Amino acid sequence: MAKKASAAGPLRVRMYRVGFGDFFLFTLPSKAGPQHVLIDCGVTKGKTGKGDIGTIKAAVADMAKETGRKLALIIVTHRHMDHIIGFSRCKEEFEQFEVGAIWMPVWETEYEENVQKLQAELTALAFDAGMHLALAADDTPGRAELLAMLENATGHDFLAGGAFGIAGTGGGTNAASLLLLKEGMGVKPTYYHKGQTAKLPKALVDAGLEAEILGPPPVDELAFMKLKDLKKGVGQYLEASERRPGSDGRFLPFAERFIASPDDYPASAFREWVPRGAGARPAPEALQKAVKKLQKAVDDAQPEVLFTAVKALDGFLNNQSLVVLFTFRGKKLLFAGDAQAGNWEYWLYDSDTPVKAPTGELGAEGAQVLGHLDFYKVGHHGSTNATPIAAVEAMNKDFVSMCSTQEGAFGSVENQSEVPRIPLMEALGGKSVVVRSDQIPVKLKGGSVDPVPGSPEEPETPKRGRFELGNCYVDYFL
Amino acid sequence: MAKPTQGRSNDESRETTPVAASAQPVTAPPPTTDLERPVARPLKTYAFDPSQGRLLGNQMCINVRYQELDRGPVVRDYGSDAIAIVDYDGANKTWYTPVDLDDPRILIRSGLDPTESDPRFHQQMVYAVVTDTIQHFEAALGRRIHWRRREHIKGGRSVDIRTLNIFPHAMVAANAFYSPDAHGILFGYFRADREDPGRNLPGQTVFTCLSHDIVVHETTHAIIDGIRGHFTEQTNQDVPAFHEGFADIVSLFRHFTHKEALVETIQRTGGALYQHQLQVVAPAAVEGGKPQIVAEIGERNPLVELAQQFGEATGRGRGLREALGTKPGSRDIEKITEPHLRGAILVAAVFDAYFSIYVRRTADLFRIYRAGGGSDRPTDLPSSLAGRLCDEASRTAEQFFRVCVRALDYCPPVDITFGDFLRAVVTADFDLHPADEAGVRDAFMQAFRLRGIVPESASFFSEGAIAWERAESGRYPLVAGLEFGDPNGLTNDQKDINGKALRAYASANAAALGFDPTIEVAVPSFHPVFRINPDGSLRTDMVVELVQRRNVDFDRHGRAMGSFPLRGGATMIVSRPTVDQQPDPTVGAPIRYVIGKHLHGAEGKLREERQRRYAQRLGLLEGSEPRRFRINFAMLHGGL
Repeated sequence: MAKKASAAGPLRVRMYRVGFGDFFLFTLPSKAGPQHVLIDCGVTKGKTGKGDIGTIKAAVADMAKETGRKLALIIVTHRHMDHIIGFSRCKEEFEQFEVGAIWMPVWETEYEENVQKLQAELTALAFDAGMHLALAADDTPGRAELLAMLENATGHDFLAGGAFGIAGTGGGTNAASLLLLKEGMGVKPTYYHKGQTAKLPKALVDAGLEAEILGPPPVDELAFMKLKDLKKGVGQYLEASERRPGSDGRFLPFAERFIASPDDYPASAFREWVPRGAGARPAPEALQKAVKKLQKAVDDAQPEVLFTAVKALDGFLNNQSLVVLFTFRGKKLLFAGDAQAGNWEYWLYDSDTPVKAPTGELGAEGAQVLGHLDFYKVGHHGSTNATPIAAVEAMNKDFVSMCSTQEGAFGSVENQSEVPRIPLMEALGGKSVVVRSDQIPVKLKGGSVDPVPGSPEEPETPKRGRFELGNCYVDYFL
Repeated sequence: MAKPTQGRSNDESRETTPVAASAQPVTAPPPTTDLERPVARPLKTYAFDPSQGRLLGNQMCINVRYQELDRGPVVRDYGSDAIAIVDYDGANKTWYTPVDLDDPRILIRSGLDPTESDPRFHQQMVYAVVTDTIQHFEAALGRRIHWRRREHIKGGRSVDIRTLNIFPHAMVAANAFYSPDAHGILFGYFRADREDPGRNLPGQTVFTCLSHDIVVHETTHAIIDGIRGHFTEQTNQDVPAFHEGFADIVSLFRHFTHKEALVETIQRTGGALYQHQLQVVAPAAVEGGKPQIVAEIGERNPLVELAQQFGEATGRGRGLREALGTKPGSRDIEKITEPHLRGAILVAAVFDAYFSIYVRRTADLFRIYRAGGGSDRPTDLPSSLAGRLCDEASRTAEQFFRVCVRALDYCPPVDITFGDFLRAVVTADFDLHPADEAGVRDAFMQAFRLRGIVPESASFFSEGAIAWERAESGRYPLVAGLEFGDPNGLTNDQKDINGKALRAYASANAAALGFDPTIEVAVPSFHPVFRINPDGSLRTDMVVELVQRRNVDFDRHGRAMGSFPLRGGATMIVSRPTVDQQPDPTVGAPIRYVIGKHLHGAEGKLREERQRRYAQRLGLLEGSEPRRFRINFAMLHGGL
C-alpha cells in the first residue's frame, strides 16, 4: 500500500494505469492535510481495441478512497474521451465528491455563444463522419483509425451503434462527462487560456502551490474560419453519402436525361490513364482498365479528404488543451495535456511565427520553463507531434517524465507513427527518467494486466525523489 | 471525259466536256478554296458566376484559340498543354453527357447559352476558361506550358501529367482542388447555406465549376506545378501561401479583362476601381431610408472580390477573398501563418501596386475632365471617359499579370518566399524593360514593403539591391551545346541534347554555381523563352532549373525521428547570343542569372532550421510517406 503524503512530506504525482488515456492525481502536503489535484480521467480503446485495459473504474475507486472523495481542483485539459470518459463512466462515484474548483480550457466556455457553437459543430461533424464510416466498407482505407479518433472525439462507439446515441463499450459519453463537470459537481468551472492568471483554490494557495497557464492560445477568428472550411470540405460529402433510415442519400445535380456512360466518351478522353505507348486507339481491355483507373482516382479523392478532415478535427481538439505549469516549493511540474505544435509554439517562442526565430531559439519564457523542470507529463501519450524536438533539446536533465499510454493502440512502427514514439521516448530518456504507464503491472482483485513486453522490472531510480508501485498506479514522490 | 485540272477545289466534282473545256477562255488557275484553320473559337461563359445574372456583363463570350476537339471536350492534339474535360461524378458514380463543341447548332451561336441545369454548358465553360487561362500564361511566358512532370521519389508515387483531366462535377463538396493523384482538377457542387445563402436560394445547388474565379484559380495551381514542381513542397510557411496568393492574383486580374463589367464598375465607383462598394444605381428616395427597390440596394464591387457566389453560398455573406484585404502598414505578415490569409497579404501587395499605377496613369484624364467642368458625382462620368479609364485599367492589368507571370521564371526553383517573389518581379521586369517610366517596379516595392514583405538577403531597399544580381561577364563558363529551338517548342532530339548538355554543365561547375559538389545536381526542367526587346528585336533565353537534395534528420542528434528532404537549387537563365555577339554558335551561350538557394553555409543552416520547425508545426514528423511533405490542395482548400 502506498504511503499517504504527510503534511510535511513530499509532493506526489500518481499516474494510474488505465490504458490509452490520462488519469493523474497530484497530491501536496499541507497543514490542512493532503490536497489533491485531479488532472484528467479518461481512456479510449484506440484503433486496435487494445487501448482500454478495463481498469479505469478500479482506478477511480482507488482515487476516491485515497482522497476521501475530496479534490481541491479538477483540471480537464480537453474534451477527448481519453481524458474525460472516466467522469461519466464513474458518474455515481464522482457525484459524491467535494470539489474546490474545476479548470477547463477556454474552448469549453459557456459564456461565449460562438465558441459553444463551434464545439457543437465540431461534435456534429464528428458524428456525421462516424456514421458515414460505420456504414462504409470494412476495407475502406484508414477506417479503423478514423473510427477510433471519432470515438475519442465523442465517446461513442460508431460500430456498436454509437451514431444512434449508444455509448461506447464501458459506458459513459463525452457529452455526459462534460455535463457532469459543468453542471453536476457543485462548482462552476473556470475557463482559461494563455495570458490569463490562474486562480487557485485557497487550500492550494495556502499549501504553497502556484500555477501558470501556458496554453491554449486565446480563441481567435481563425478557428471559426477553419471549422467553416472543414464543414465546407467534407460536410456535404458526408450528408450526401450517408444512408440514414428513410433517406436515399443521393444528391443528383442534373436531370436523368443527362446521365451517360463511359461509352459516350471518345477514347481520347482516357488517354491519360492508358499505359504510355498504347497509341491513339488502345485495345478495348486497356481502355476499360483506363476507365476504371480514372473512376478510382476521382472516387478516392473524397475519402482522402475525409481522412485528413478527421485527423484535423482530432488535432483541433488536442490543441485546445489546457497546459499548466505548477510550482511547489521551487519544483516545476509541467502538465501539457495533448497539446501539439501549434499550442506549444504559442509559449515556446516569443511569437508563434516560425519566421521570427527560424534558427529554433526559444523565447525567454520557453527556455525558462523547459530549462528548470522537475516533472513532465509527456504530451499526447508520447506521440511525436506533441513534444516538439526543440522542447526536448531545451529541457534540463535529471527530471522525471511520466507517459500515460498503451502501446499498440494507435499508429504503427512500420509507418513511423507508433504511439508512444520510440525515438521520442529515447530522446526524453536521455534527459529524464521516463516511466510509462503500460510498463507497470496491474494487480487488482478482479484481475491483472501485465506490462507490455520488454518493460523493465521496475522504474529506473531517479536522481531526485523516488517511485513506488501500487496495484494499478505508480507514484512519484518528490 | 476531261481529266480534272490542277488546282481544282475539293468540292468540285463537275465533269468538264471537251467542248465545254474548249469554250472556256484561257485564265489563271482558280484560287484555292481551302479554308484556313480558324484562329479562335468563341464560347459563352459566365464572367463571374451564375449569381450575377446578366448584370455587369456577367454573360460573356471568350475567344479561345481554336483546337480540334473530341466530345468532352477533349483536345485532340497531344500537346504539352492538352486538357480533357471528363464529366464523371464520383459521389453518384455517374457519367454525364459530354458536349460536342463542333456540333453546328452549338458552333453557330458561340456555344451553349449559360445555364446551371445543363452539364454540357458547364463542360463548355470549364474548357473555355481553362484554355483562356493557359493562353494568357503562354503569352506572358513566351512559350507553351506543360503539366507536372514526375519526380522520382523513392518509396513514393510518381506523377506525370500529360493531359490535364478536368472533372466538372467530381464530388459533393463546397470545394475544388488540383490533384496530381487524379491527374487534374476536381470541382465540387453543394447546397447553398440555408440560413445565409446570399443571392442564392436556400439549399440550391451551387456548382464550383461555374465560378470563373475558381476555375482560373485551380488552373493556376496546375500551371505553376508544371513550371515549378518544387513549389508544392512545404518548406516554409510562404510556400502554400504563395500558391494560394498567386492563384488569387491571376483570378482577380482576369476580372479586369471583362470589359462590360469593367465599364459598369468604373461608372459606379467614379473610376475608383479599388472601392469595395458600388454606388447604388438609384439613390434612395428618402435620405438614410431603407431601399425600396433593388436599384437602391448597394452591391459589393465584384472586380475586387473572388468567388462571390461561393462565398455567399457557404454563409460568409460576401466573396471568398478580396484583393485589398490587408492594408498598408499591417503587420499581419509577422503573425499570420494560415495559407489563405497569408496569401491574401501577397494579393493585397500586388493589387496595391496595380491600383497605384492605375490611379497614376488616369490622373491626367481626371484632371482634364474636372477642368472641363466635370461633376463630382461618381455616376456622371461620360462614356468616353469611362471607356478610356476602362482601357487603362485593362491595359495595366494585363501588364501586371505578365510581370507576375514572367517573374515565375526568375524565382529560385525551391523554397519560395514572398521576398523571393518580389526580387523576381523586379528582376524580370528590369530584364525586359530597363526603363520604367510608370514606376511599376517602385510601386511593387513600396506596396510589398508596407505589408512587411522584404527580401531576406537584400542589402538595401533599392531596385538595384532587390533585383537578383546579374552574372558578370566571364563569371561562369559558357554553356556549350544548347539547342534553343523555335517558338513552336523543342523537338524530342533537341530536348535530349539539352538535357545531356545541362547535366554535364551542372556537374562540371557545381561549386561555381553554388551547389555542393558531392551531391548530384538534377535538371528538372529547361525551356526556351522568346520575347521581344523594347527595341523590337527578338530575344531568346533558356530558363533552366537545377536542384540537388539531401535528407536531413528531424532530430539534430541523429535519433531516428525521421528525416525530411532539404533541397538546394538555382534557376539559371542562359541567353542565346546574337550572331553579332557570337558569330560561332558552338562556343557556347552566356549565363545572365543564377538565382540560387543553397544547402551550405549560413543560408543553408537557416533554411534547414526553418524547414525543420515548419515541418514539425505541420505534424510531419509522424509517418513515412514521402509525399506528406507536398501540399495537398484538397486539404488546403478544405481549410484543413
